[in-house]
Amino acid sequence: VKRRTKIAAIIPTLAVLIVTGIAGAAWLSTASGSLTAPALRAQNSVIATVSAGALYPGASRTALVSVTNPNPFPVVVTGIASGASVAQVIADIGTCSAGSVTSAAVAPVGSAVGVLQSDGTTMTIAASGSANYELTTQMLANSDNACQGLEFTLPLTATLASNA
Amino acid sequence: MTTDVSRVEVPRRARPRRSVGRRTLIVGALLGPLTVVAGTARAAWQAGGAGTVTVPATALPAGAAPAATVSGQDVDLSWAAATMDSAVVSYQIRRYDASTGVQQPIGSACDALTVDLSCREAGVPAGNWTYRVTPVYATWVGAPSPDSATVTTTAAASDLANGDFETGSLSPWTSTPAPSSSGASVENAFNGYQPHGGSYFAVVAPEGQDTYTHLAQPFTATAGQTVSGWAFFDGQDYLPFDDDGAVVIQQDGSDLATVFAASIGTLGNHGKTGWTAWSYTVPSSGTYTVDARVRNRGDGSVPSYLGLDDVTVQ
Repeated sequence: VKRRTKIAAIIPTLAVLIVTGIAGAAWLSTASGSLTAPALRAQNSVIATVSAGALYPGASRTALVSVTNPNPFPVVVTGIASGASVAQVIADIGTCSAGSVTSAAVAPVGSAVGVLQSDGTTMTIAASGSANYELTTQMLANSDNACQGLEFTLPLTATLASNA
Repeated sequence: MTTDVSRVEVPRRARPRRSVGRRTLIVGALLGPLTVVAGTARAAWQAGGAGTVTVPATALPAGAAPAATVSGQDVDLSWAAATMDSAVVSYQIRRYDASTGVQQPIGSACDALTVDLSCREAGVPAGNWTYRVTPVYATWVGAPSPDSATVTTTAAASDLANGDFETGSLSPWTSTPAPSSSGASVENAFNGYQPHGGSYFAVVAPEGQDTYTHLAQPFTATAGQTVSGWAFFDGQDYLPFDDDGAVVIQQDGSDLATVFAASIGTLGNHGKTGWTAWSYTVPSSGTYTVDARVRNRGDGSVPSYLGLDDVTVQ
């Protein structure tokens, strides 16, 4: 009974050490010996434009966006939703209608867990890293005359998952 | 995402405890959390991302001022391409009065949108003109080009001949029906009328009852040119014998416009006019006919007459 008690006491301690060590690869822990893990919350990423080809009626171009990973663990992008421009009113010329410019949604190919980055091979964004992704943008073939020379800011959202 | 490893329990065994059982217990207790941890590592955290992508749109450039050269009443235009990425740009060409800046109708060869870099506007009316080129792509329209240099077109020499009858004959005018005892003739004085200009003028007399006698000549004209002349009606009859005469512009055998008309009914018994000016500006380039006609109505006697002189196309 004594020996069993000692073993029983050792087991949780070893387990805590093992768990803490392994979990530390994905997120930080205080590892003070307590059995309570820290409440770490995943941070949202930021999408920003790297480059974008100029559009004209009916044209389709590739835009490059960066996705930053502010988290201390690696992630993959599991999707980028489609985007659409808002209406712009140009004095003395007219209105460039909403939806004149759109970007297509991006999703993993086949059974891949994430979207391939612009290099065509990498999927994972390192902890506190960033990576570039390609989007296909398009302008309506009958876009308004007032759309000439404008800049279109398309809101985008993405979904990500940890990839420890 | 925490794993409470303290809740990992060592399974109880019904069998008597042995040293091998303890080792099993220890190994199992160690592997248990590893299994839990491994399972946890496969479960991914979900996170979001937000931001924007900024996409520019290009724009059509302004048109390039066209080069214009005149050949008679034809104007040859050419212009530099307006490039917008890989788009195939079309061009709209417009002509303006050089002095007023008012846009003018343009010939069909240059009227439609074209992807070519040149066109020829034929039969441009006499005057001073400028041209502008505007790039067009789909629903987009670029800024018009600056004006071309002013070009001057002059009217072509008229092919209407002997309009003043100063040859002393009707040729190349045609009288229908063919003159017999009366019909059309060239005179230097008639019933008190003198030539409007020069020494001669034409007189058209009716050849029968209730049918017109015609004196006509076709001519070509470009849009905007004007055919003009002088005419009189010498009414000899009285009502109810409503003799009449007219000068009519025809095309393809149909009357386009009556530019002079008179009758006993409108002038009264024995009504006459003096020399009266008439004119007609042709709406489009083509072949037209001046047709002077007179008719003796209601009887075969007491004919009325129509005079014609100084017919020109300018």
